[in-house]
Amino acid sequence: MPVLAFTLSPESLGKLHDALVCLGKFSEAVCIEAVHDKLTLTALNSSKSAYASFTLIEKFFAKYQFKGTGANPSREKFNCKIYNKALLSVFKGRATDPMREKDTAIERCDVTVEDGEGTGKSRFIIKIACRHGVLKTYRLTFESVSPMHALFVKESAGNVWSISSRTLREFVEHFGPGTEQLDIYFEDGRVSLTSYTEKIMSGNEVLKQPLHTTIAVDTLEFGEFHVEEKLHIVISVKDFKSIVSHASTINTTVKALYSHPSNPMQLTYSDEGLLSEFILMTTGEGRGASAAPNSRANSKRPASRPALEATPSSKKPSNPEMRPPSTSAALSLNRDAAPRSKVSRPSPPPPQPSIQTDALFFPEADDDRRWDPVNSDEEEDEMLLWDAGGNSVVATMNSGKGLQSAETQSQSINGLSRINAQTNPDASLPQTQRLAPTQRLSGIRGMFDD
Amino acid sequence: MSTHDDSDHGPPIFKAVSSSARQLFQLLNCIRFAPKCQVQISNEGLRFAAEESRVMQGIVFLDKALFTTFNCALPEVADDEADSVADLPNFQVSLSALLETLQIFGATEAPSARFSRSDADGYISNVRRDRPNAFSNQALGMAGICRLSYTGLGSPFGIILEEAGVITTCNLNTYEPDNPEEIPFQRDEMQVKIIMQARWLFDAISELSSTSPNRLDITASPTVPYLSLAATGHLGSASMEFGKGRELLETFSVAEKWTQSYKFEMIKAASEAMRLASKVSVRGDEQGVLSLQFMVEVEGGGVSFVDFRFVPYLREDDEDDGSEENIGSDYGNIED
Repeated sequence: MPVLAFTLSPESLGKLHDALVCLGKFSEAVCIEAVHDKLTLTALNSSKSAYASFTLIEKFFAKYQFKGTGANPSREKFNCKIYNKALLSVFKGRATDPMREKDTAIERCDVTVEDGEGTGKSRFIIKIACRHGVLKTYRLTFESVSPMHALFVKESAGNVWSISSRTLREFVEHFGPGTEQLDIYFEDGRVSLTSYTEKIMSGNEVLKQPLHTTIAVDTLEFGEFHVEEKLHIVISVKDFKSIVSHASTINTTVKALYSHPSNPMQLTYSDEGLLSEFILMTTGEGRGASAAPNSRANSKRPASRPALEATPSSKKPSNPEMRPPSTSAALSLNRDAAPRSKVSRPSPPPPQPSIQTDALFFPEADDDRRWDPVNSDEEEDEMLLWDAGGNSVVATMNSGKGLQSAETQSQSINGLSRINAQTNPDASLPQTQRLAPTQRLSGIRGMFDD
Repeated sequence: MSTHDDSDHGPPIFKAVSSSARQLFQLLNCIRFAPKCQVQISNEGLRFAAEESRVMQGIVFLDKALFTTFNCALPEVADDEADSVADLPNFQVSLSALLETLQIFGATEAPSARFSRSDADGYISNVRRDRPNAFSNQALGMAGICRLSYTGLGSPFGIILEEAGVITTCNLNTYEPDNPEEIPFQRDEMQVKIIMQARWLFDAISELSSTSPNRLDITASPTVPYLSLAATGHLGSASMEFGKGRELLETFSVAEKWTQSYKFEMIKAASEAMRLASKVSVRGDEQGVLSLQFMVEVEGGGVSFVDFRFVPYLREDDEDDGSEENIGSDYGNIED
């Protein structure tokens, strides 16, 4: 007896496919959560700095039925995790173009989930009926895990803007290829969107050239706009592009909500029956006092720490093989580099903001501390918090790994990290310099003038 | 072989000219799963056979109608008709080198995304790659000439390609023939014969390959679902059923339910032929040997045939390892 059964029209099948493609840019697995009136698909990236979720409400489906096993199905939940690759190959993009594959056009798609715990009969069953009576049946295995949700406190987010997804796509097209970070800054009625890459040096060799692309936009382009002036907020270009490329397939309005750097930013938009929500970790100008990293051990939620630390580390292009490459190469390398750099990164000492000014011209060997997430420890409780849905099974997911690496990092004091620096070429690289974009722009000009 | 002594000097026993290397390439590309292929020259044409582990065999017959000239001066055989078949010039040649040679002028696009019919090329994808296309060199009259020659035992297989004044001469080393027995297909004990569009089979196999399975189960039955292909991989299982037999299957003669399993990778190796061909005849005999005959419509009219044979997995009904059998029965239960 199925726990969950729903039917999709060819049109919504195409939308589901688009959503899965988008989720696939964040994580290789998709968490599916079903309740009596909606289905939620979520993905959390491996460094836990970005979270994507799509909520499909009843309207999205031709038929939707959730049968709980207990007495009160309206309060029950069904959770599972499936490899996105498997789902994507099932819901291939064909459905979207009936002209192209006329012969095998999909007529309907029935999905049922059978969950016979312990009997080995748990399968996510997808039946696709095509023209000419061809019936494709897929029985996918799934893992029964509670999803991790990122929490976002709307009340604390004072900065709001909304903009048409099409306009946003036009902006994104101008972002330089291979750039990694996106700075959003508002001053004098203009919003500057700066996509940039830091310079990476290895001795005298430039591994990565700095690249900055700034788009200045009048606030009139935005629908709603309430943003604190002169506030730099930095997110990952890659994540932002993933979101925009999905949003632009729909003619909709993307709404962004955020508070301060190193607090999460929320981006939302909706289509008929489909609600999209993304939560991205931000960096930027530090605001909080510089508390020593050791104090992190006192945190109530150790699992959330590596997520924060991971935010910058995933963006840190410490891979020596990395050249100023094409976008796609950079993205994939970056993805590979993330876990490695996370491990080899020495425990960061407290930051010293004064170095930042001329750092672009004086590459130093050991300024990893620049990559330390901004030390706003006072505000940490508002950061990405993982809601396990009240289920302790959560540790089986990434958080287990996160805990481990948190321990490793807190133990690795500078002495240990020096050993790392000798053995690991990554660690011995001078790290990318971090500067406020305004300063950097002038810096570049000066450099070329020489 | 009598020609052995004068093999280096005598006139070629075989010469043929084709106006399109592309045609030859397309057909031979269907059997590129093996590194070497067996070539046999006869008065009717050239026969290329590739095989793998004695359980899979692919045969391409290049009929002499594909060539503009075809001269085959077979060594005179004394009036002993029975021996003549055995004495046909027979040798092995590297298939990958042969294919490489034939596409030296870019006879086809790189066969990279062979299985993934990518989503990006919306414009191209309306046309099945390698099928007649209004913008091909062939249609635009830019094709060159391809000459094949073979002098005799021990001599190389010569290919001369000429295009726009550029001449490329390739001599491929020939190897001692290795005469594997053909996979026996019992025509008189045939249990299944289905003729359908090769397209359906191609779609089905590419669907199923998404679960990266090891084994493909083919079931044919006289009632619904007529023909069903199923595969199980570590991400789950998938099955394709052709429920409305009459519309999809041109010829369908199945006396009783027939189920056999094959190595998925091997069937998938025939996917190039599935993509190129217009029709396929699926036949199965009593022992479970599967024969897939593909009818390929060649540019400029005429048809060629590409033939595959597969030996099934042994069906050990009682002593099979438990897990596989369980999966098999699992299907049955859910299906009901």
